[in-house]
Amino acid sequence: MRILDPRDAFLADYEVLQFLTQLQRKHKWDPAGVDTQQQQQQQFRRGVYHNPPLEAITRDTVAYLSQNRNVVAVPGDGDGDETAQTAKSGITRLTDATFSELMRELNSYELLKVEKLQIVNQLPTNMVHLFALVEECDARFSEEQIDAMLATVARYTQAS
Amino acid sequence: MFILSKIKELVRVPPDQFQRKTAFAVTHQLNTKYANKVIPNLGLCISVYDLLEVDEGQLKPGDGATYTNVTFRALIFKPFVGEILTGWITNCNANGMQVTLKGQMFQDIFIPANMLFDNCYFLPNESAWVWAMDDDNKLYFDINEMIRFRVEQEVFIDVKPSARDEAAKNEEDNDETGEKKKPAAPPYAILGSCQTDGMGLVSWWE
Repeated sequence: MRILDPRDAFLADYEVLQFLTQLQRKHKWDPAGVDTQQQQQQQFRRGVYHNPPLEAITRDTVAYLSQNRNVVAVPGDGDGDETAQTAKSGITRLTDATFSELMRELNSYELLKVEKLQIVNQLPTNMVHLFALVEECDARFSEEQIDAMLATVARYTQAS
Repeated sequence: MFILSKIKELVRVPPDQFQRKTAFAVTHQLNTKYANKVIPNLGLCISVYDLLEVDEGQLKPGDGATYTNVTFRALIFKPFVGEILTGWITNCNANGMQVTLKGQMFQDIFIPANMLFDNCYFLPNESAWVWAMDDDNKLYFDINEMIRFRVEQEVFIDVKPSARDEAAKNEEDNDETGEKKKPAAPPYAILGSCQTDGMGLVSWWE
């Protein structure tokens, strides 16, 4: 193994999610996962491509990326976990077209590349979150600009 | 959070894979070797992203397999220093907090005690960290809560195969004697911090 270029490119979470879900579809993997031996045998008979480590990491990464990490569903009782799992992250609602549009709109602000990357990854919904992602946010941007940024993100990721 | 790395590798395709298309067989070999594995000083490899160059296969005397020079790009989980991530607290102790991303995806994130907010202290009987904002407001870091943190440092430890075998052996021995198991050092760990506004539990900042 020789590493030619440790960082050839950055990938946005959206692109990773698209790539991995395509991989799952291509190999007809069950997103819920195969646990029992019976299911494994069924897969084997259907001629599904068998690669357990790849399947496991794909499933977990997809699950992590598609979960909404900005809102805590219902605090307290045990049902909270259930609702948190059903709440989908905004990046699952993006398409290639809206994603590039969102990128273009963010380009109009003087953000660094890593800041834009983090904004499209995490899709901040409130000001505190945005301030954490963008360094010295209050000095570099006016309040209107910050509000506009949040509104832009919200517009593209609203639940329909 | 994710990057692409360009890697060159000599891939061995065993004869039982010869009925497959070259690209598929090579991808399969690479995925078997790299998927869900840590590449030292790089990060956690998720999968092969694409193949850039596949040379002609070569034969070596005494081996029925083909050897192919391949240049490919791998999808790597490697957050940069300063990146903000969200995870779940799995464990709290006096030294700090253990945080995991989803499932098996990545579990070796540690937030040491000195990288928490200033007025944080540990409650041993509730095994939770508490952030005392002022005298009245006390915020708890509870297990299984969603937490936002900043990546401060990445730590790679070269885990040798023999060391891992020994660790497994020790574990067995400990099971028999009923002693406390000592977890093996992870090959790739992330140190995080919670010191600025917006960090800490997600629910605090809604």
